[in-house]
Amino acid sequence: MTHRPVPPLPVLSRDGSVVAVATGHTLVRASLVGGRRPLLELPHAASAVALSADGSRALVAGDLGVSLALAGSGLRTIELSAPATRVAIDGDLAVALVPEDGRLQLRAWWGDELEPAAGSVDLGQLAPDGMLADGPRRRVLTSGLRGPRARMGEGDPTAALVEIGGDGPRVAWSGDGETEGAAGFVFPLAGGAVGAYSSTQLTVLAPGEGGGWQRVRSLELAGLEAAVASSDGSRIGWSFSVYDEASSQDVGYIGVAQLENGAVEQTLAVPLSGTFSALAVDDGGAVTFATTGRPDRLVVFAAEAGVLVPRLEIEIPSG
Amino acid sequence: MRDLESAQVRDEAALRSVETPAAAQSADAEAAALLELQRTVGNAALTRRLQVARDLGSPGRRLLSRYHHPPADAHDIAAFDATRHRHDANRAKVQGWLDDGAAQNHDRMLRNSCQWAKAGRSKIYVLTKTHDSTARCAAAHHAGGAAWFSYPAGELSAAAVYYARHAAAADPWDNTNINFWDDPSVDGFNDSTTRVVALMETAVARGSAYFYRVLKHETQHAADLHDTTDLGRYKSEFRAYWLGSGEFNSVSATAQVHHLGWTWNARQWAIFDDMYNDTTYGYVKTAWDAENGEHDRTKRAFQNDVVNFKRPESVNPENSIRVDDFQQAVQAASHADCTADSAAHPNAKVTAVRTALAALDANDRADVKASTDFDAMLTAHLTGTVLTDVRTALAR
Repeated sequence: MTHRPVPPLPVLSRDGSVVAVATGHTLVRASLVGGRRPLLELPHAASAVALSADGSRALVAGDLGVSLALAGSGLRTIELSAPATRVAIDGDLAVALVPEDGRLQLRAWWGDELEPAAGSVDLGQLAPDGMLADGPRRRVLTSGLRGPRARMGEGDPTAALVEIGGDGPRVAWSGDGETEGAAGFVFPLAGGAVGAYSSTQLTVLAPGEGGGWQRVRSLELAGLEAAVASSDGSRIGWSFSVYDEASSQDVGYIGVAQLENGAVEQTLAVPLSGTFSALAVDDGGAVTFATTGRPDRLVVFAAEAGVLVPRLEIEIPSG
Repeated sequence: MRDLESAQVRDEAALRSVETPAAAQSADAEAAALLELQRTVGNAALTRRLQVARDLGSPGRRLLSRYHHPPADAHDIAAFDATRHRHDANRAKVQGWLDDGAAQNHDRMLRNSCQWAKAGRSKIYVLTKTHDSTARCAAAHHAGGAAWFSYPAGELSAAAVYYARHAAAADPWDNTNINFWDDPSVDGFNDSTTRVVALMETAVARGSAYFYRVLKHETQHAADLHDTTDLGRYKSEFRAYWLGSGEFNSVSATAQVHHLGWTWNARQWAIFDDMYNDTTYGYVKTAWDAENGEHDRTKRAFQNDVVNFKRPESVNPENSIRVDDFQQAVQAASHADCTADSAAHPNAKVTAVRTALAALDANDRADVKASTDFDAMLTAHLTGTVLTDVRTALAR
């Protein structure tokens, strides 16, 4: 029985302009627009990374804490009592899920100096599936399984929308009921709405009268296995796979739809899918797809004339 | 040139130290000198010299002084020494991490895994790449691989053990306690039959968080009591990735995905897909593909078992030494032991079960209680009031 390093998870900015992977003590961040590929040495080993919507900020979790890397060479590190399991960043807001005595605490920071927000939110025995941030509205959406055996994959699906106020964070909405059966979330959608999707349907929830979150509309969309929203929340992109019995092979696809009317704008075949993949759709519907595979390399594709073509290939440092 | 000269001086000094009259030298000092000689000129050369001494019936130390060894490669000696020091540093760092991990409360599996290591439940090895790994691998028909020391001697709880430098090109390589891997990126392995957990220095260099993940991964292999069938090995890796190293924990455990004509949860698929495409786990692809020709999917036994293993069910999911003690005690007992047990005449094996049961903490009890495999083990080995008592205690 053996173990060997798994290629790192690639992360795309929501607009698809920047890709990043963190491996060992190195953050690799590359711009698909200007072609810059700076490597940044981190003061700690990295275990997770998140990019802001435009890619100008990267938040990296590691064994000593979290580090904020700005577009230039700026780096700010905050020590934590335990390695964060998830990070997210949007605008000035940076958040992390930090384990404490078997429970997860949501902690938040502001600005370039990672000024700590007051307090934290106890999310309980949560095995997180995802965490998404809406910086301008000071909101964070967490989702996953909850319960004493959540990390075993056994528990109750749960989602929580946390507002980071001046007095500290608080849970503004718990999606236990409205999002039953959801496979994942896209957030923020236009107006700060939350999208909860199953394999066949996207449900949009928004604050209603009285402050509660209510179902606004639903869209029927086929094959929603993993979805992302564009920066302005007007579109979603999603990936799915179709099995070809004759060749005993999967064929991967990416779909893009407008949320306003549910119209599917394009469906693209995925030419290569490695260990981990990331997807981004910009406000105009342009698709960027990144994947990492063995030996450690990162390949980024962009859609041109209805076909995904490789735009960037990077050999990932061994760490 | 200066380096070479100094190395020659050191080699000659080593020889002279062996020549020193034994009357003035303790046995330990002589042994140390021989070890130094071995270190600087190599095992094979030393063996050859001692063989010459024995053949001539003369004291080895006298003949050694006449032996003309080839000039040592100063750079090679320096690299060898640096590697030994790096090995010492790796061991010290890991020992510190184990102490820290056992003392923290944020991560139960980590605390348990460090307790597991510190208790000697598994033999922990920290393996360092030899300074001559490339050449050593080539000579040993492992070209492109990596040579690590020290295994099987040199576990962390014992004194450090090093390796023999290949001093002269004509000498045979001494690969005592060298561990070869054709895949140089492997950074940990486990041998459940000998309860070995080995971690390469590449896992150490990536920092404590990464090391802890590999430790939890490899310890789960030791804790899960897996069988050695293809399916047993697959399940053990699946558990180790999900529960231990957690590389795929960024992938949803709840979202459903469709691949290869089956429905999976996304994390389950990610782990399977990685193993299927990784030659390190070649048996997975072989066993899976062997069934593709069977049109009736219900008859594809391996594929069905893999797809149905959606969560990392384990008899010891958190690497608890207390759960390990308990399962060992249960497996040692029998229905006959339970029947023979009474307050007046306690059965030793049943008493061991009760003792191990009492040592479980609340989390341990919850893990045991949730495991269907553990429940089957209880039923197979315990009966009557003993089984009832155990189940009652586990429910608390």
